[in-house]
Amino acid sequence: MNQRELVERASTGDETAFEALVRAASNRLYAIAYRILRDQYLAEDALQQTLVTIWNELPRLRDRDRFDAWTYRLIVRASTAEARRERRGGSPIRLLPDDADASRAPDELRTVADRDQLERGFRKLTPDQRAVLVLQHFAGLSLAEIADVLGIPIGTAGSRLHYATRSLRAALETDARSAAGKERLA
Amino acid sequence: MNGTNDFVGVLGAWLEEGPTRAPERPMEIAVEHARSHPRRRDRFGFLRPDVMAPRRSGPLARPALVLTLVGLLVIGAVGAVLVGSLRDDQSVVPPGPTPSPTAPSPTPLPSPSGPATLAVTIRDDVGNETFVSVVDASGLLAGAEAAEPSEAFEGDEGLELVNETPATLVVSWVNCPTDTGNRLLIGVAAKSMTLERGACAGDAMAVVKAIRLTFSQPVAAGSVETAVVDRR
Repeated sequence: MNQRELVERASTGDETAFEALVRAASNRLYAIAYRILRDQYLAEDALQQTLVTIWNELPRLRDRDRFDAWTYRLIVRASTAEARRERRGGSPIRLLPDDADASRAPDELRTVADRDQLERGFRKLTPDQRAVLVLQHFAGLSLAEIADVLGIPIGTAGSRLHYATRSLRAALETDARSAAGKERLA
Repeated sequence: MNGTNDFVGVLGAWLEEGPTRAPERPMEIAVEHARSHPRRRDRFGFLRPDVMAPRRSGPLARPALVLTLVGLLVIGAVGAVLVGSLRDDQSVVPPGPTPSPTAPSPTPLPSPSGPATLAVTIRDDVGNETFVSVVDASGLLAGAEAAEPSEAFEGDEGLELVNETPATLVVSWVNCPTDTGNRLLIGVAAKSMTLERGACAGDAMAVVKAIRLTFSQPVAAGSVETAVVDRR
């Protein structure tokens, strides 16, 4: 059974079809949530919220072929909501994911220091900025697809991406200057 | 890593790291939720907006509301025609003395106009549709529509006001997802704003809501006193 048929059947109340749908989509959605939130427990909460919303709202998805885009939209919204909620509650305990395997890292990511620098810089971005970066550089969506997923004009998506990239670069540069300053003092 | 050319590659590579398999628990909970909430036949489902429809605000975002308004307009128009025809009948009066030109003219009734109320349909940041009643006692409100929360929104327990333009404010607040009716009261001269919302119970996940208010003259965010009242 293809995805469209599963969506059709789940929207009419077929729980088995719904289970097949969420099992097929969960890895993709969780990966997005984790990369926005940088926390496995928050990502798990965002995924759960998204899957429940899929069941509740699926009949209102008129164009069944837009299931993937719609679920991207839901996971981004749930993730940004989680991030905002987390900001209100203070800093969480950060744990490395179980299957994070640094040995699989591509050549471009050369050092642990690079990773830490990116991690710190990325966390300084707003949830919306993180989302556009993840959608483009991890999910591989085009600007038009990002605008569609987020439900915003393409110009807004472009400017959000521009400011996100600029903010991340600025955070990395500040971090690098700070590290160089500490080295000189040492 | 600081070179311009490889920045995108490094970012992409870094994002590739991390988990790619979802834990079982959210899937199990969602499937359990589906089983415990079997889908009921929704006879008015065709009236509900498409979840992927372009964002609209105001009454056009809700087809059911539009149909209701059209129905009321038709009833009003029919009523007006009936009343008009009744008056036409009464206007045929027997000839009599011409009214004196000095007769007092009818005194206009005081206008019953009070604060204007606007209903704004918004979608919160987890996709739930809800609405906000904006009650304007300032007389300065020119429009209200759904908005994205400002990126600087910190999400404390109060109202956050941000000027987009001198005469436009984005108002953001947090709310529980089950509270589908909020009321925003704009005080005299737009010097105060009070949000009435339902109190959250249990561990409901807070969501962020935002609307954009357009005024007929500049209103500085910093000059507005804000308050949030939780209904019990």
